[in-house]
Amino acid sequence: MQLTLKSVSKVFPGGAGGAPVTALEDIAFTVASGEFVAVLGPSGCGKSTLLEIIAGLSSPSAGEILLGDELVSSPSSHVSVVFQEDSTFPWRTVADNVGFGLQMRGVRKAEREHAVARAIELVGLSGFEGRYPHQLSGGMRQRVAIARTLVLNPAVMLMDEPFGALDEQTRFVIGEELLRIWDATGCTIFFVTHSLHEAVQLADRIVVLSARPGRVKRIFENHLPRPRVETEDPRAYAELMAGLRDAIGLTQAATRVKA
Amino acid sequence: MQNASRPVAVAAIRGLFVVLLLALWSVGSAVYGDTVLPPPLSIAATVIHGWREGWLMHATAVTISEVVPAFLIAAIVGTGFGLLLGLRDVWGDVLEPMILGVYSIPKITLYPVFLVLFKLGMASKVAFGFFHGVFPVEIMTQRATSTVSPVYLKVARTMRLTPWQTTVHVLLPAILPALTVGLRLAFSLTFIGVTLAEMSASRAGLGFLLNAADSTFDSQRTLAVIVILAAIGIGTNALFYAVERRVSPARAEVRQATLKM
Repeated sequence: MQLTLKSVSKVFPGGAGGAPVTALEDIAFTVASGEFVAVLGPSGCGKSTLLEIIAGLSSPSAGEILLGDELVSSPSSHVSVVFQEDSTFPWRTVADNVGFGLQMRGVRKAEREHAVARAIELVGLSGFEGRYPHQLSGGMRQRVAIARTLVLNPAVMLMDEPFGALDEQTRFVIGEELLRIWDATGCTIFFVTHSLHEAVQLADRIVVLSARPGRVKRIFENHLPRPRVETEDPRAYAELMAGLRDAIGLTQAATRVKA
Repeated sequence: MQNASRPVAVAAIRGLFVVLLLALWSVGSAVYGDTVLPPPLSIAATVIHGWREGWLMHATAVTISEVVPAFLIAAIVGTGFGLLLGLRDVWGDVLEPMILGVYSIPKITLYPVFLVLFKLGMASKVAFGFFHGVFPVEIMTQRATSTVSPVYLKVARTMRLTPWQTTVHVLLPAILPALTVGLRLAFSLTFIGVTLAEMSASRAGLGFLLNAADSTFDSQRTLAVIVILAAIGIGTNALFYAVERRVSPARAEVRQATLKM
């Protein structure tokens, strides 16, 4: 399912006599059906705000979001969201967490079982069905959160720095798994991150946002062969990284420090 | 490795305290005399006797029949308001200090008002018990609700849950550990409220019996009623503790983990 952003802006009223804050300004791009797009930007660039607007959790001050042909004004049943914070329910087992959405949609336990088992298998948590979240590592809990959205067969998955709290190695491994899941399900993924490496590892296209106000600075096509590790094609990898660094403003910052 | 023997040791020490208390009581009755402070065994006999004769059982039944509805109403009203105020930041802020303020009033001073409104019978006891018990449930529920992880509510919204589903399947389970603590306190306070009301103005119940026995210096009956009151209080408290432990498996797990260290 295609996702279209039409000059989306978001202005927050200034608190306590302060001036209004423009978080997002004139954001416009399209995520094709089945595409993996990463939105990259420094903290405070409004990327999470953008994700919340696309998710229908918050409304834009101007512009609109189209999901297929339909205008987004509230959460859609075709869209699933994975958040950065641990969102697994501590009072439910892994299997019951994963089956939560289906249960809420009125699917009976016997009918959910197959879909739940498949989603758990996809995220590599088979054998942990009866565990509680506090018995799992942070990475495993995020897998549970991903499986909980997969089970609903989303056309679009929105991910808000889902691996932000994980260490680098776990982050890479779970990223490769996400690619496998993306391959198996064919869903559209909109992935917010502040990690250049993660964006390069995962996305077909990388949208770089500038900070305050958040604007689309540049959009990079990423054609590196997978798995995208530096050693595969060091030159192309370095070129893309340099371009991203430049766009995000890290090059100037480094020059300033040097001078 | 001390884990296995620890609960046994705790239970043994608790038992020892009970024995010690009974011993002190016996010593006390030897010092002050049987008429002032009858010994434990004679009180046990009075309790059994009173139960068989019916007056003690009847008073207990009256008190319980007042405490149970008072507690249930307090639980439902307290949880409901706690959820509403916990979710609505502004109203929570407006009302919380007022609720805490009312809670801090010595409530027995308001009992005459309850008597005027609800007359001398059961209704005034239930209302007064409710008034005692509703606050801890409301306060605990409101606090817990306003600190529920916002991401849970976002999950609920993105999964398009109805308000009822969000309440039953997300909010209530999330606040359950705090809620059970609130309910335990509520039961104690409801029980206190009902007993106080019975002692102040009534025609039946354990509080009434206690007052009547005390004013005729019948220390046998007085202590027999106190034994029953204590049994109800301690028994229900133990019951609530058991429920609390059940609803927070995570906490029990953490406790075990720290013990192992």
